[in-house]
Amino acid sequence: MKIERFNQFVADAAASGVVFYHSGALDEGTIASIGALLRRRLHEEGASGAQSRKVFTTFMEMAQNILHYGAMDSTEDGPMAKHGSLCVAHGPEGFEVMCGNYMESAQVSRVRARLESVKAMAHEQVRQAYRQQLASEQNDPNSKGAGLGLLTMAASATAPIEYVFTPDPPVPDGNTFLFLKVII
Amino acid sequence: MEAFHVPATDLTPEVRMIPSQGLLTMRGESYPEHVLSFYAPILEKISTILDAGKLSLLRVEMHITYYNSASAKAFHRIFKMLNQAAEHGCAIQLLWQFDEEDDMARDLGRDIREDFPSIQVEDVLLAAS
Repeated sequence: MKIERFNQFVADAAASGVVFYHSGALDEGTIASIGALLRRRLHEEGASGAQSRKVFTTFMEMAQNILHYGAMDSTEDGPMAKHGSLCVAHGPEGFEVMCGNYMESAQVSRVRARLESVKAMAHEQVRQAYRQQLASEQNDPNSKGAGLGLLTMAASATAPIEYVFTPDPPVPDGNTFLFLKVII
Repeated sequence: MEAFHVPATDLTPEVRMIPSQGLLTMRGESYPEHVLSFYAPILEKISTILDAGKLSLLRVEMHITYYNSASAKAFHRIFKMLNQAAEHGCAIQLLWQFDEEDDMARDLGRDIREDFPSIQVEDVLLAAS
């Protein structure tokens, strides 16, 4: 990267209100470290305790979703790693928590249906759906709780969750990039 | 009945159970990637102590400041176990501690009351840290 380009990158990030950005391989240790860093940044940014808690909670659900459900990428070293992008920014309506990761195209229609159903719920409905999901997943020990993760994000959000699949419609038998945005 | 203690880490809470004092405490944060591998042995130990049927009263103190959705499932299983113990004659007093601005924890306390009616739940509001 040319230094002028980096200069522009930094200016663009500042103009977009970026508080935190990470893009690359993720594992549990990385998530714990960037989670701690994010909390410090939120404190410095003057986020209220309640807001900071919700931003952090949403961020962690997104990060763990990438770990559990993101499509694998092979690296030059051979081992497979989960890659994803995570961003927290200041926006006009509050903090914006965003993530992007590859997922299997075959899962897109299922995930889209779930996103649409959560988007249509009012706050109290989200809470009730969360309760039901919690009870029903007790019977399925293999579930990693994707539905619960999405409902946790929706419960923290002050506006409906936004999402974009790229490309849309997805390429069959391949991977599709999913972006999520939650305003808190 | 053996007491046990699991120290806190950055990702997992401290869990302590002292049957002779009728006490179970859980404090800290909970977002391990592999929730089951952390909670399965703990669930097992709690279950063994409760199944022995020697406790007439168990005071449960919980203060979980952050938790992920997978941990919520583990908590649900613990509450289910406690509720069953209460139905079998062991009074369960849950001190549900949370920071006053943590409305999600407040809601969860309300859910516990509704879903596990045999557990006596007492909210304990802590001043925001």
